[in-house]
Amino acid sequence: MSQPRIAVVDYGAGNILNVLRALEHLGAKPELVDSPDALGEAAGVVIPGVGAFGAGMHGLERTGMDEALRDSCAQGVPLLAICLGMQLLASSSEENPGVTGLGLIDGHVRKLSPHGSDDALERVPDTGWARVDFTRPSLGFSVNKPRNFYFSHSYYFAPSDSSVVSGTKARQSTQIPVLLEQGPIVAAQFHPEKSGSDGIGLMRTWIESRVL
Amino acid sequence: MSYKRIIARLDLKNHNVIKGIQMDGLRVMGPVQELATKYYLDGADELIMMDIVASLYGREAMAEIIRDFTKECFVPITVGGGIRTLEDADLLFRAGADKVAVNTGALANPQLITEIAEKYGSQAVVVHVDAKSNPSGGWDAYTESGRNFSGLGVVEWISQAIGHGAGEVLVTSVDQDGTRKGLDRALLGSIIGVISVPLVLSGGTRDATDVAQVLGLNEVDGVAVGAALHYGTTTVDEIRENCRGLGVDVRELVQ
Repeated sequence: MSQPRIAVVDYGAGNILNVLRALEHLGAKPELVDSPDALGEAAGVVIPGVGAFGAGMHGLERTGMDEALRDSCAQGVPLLAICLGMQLLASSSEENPGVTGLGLIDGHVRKLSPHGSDDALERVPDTGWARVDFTRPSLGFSVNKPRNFYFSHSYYFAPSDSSVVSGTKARQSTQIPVLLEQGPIVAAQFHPEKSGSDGIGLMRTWIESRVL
Repeated sequence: MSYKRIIARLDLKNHNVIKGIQMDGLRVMGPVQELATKYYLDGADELIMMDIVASLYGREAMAEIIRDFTKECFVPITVGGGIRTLEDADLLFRAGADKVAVNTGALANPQLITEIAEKYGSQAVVVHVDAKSNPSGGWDAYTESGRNFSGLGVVEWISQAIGHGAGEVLVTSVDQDGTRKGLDRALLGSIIGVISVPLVLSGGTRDATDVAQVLGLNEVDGVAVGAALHYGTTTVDEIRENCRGLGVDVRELVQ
């Protein structure tokens, strides 16, 4: 594989190093980017992130990266958004009402509610490996062949248009969306960079099928 | 719905995994990168790296170990040992840790838990409790890898730590640690009522069945296995099979 230059957006969120490591492992050339100029001619863009919605948007707006990301998306540059990065694509979030998101995928971020019963506890934050069911063939994965990924979240993205959903996970006997695809955008609530060979496989497919 | 977690625990001294009995008489099990990579490839859901002689050597060495590990291994890791300040935690998170485990530093200054939780989220702060039974039938919280009594009972300390923002509790039975005589059910029974966050039990794993039975309990989210893996008493795979046999929901590895 040639070495595609992939811009990893640095907006002050925690633990983005592991995303760099995974991209390097896959033979890409990741570069931390914190200004619109530096986004330049990247072959692909990753928005990683752990943290809060309001602080995340503030970090993007402070450097003008919010507009730069909207432009890059409009130009069709492949985008992979992970965890908080995914939530920032929404119009708004219950985590910080009043803060406007990137609005790149229409929808809102909602809080998970804790749930307990005699045979299962579902806590918030929801941290750990969970099964993802694919609702359509996506990034090398097939319907009816669920895979496991690592999650750490208290909120989830509920898109307005359910046709953007490619993968879901079960919670409280409902399915919440955890993998979205719309145009040049792939968005995952889980951490592919922490999800062993399936997570790395997803990132490899993203690079091979979309970035290269 | 998250799966129950099978966790490989590596207690470190310099660049070696070590193991003692009741945290004493330490023996070298092997180089940390070799064992950690093996457990990752075997399908451990998570790794815990505990620098149990932290006070004796620098934080930077631990950060280096994490940086090396996270280059090729893509799995959540919890890192602990000698974290006294937010800056200690910063260094480990920057190196690639997903969670940090605090014990002695948090007992000395419970506000440390709050500071880390506010910066990285409560899911990233694990309170690690070294528990020893006392003659009156209760359990006491120890510091310095089981050497000093903190003055607090285990139940009291766990409640306080959760109140300060700990997002996960890792409880090690010092009495059982390294003995491979079985996970400490009595200890578990005494703390289950106070736990409102994910609970991981450690210390004394006898075999795969032992782990599967404890993971089968509703209140237990994970079991951390050290000696039983290092000595080859059991494997991650065997534990996973035993869990399936008992109907415990664990991650399935797809080739």
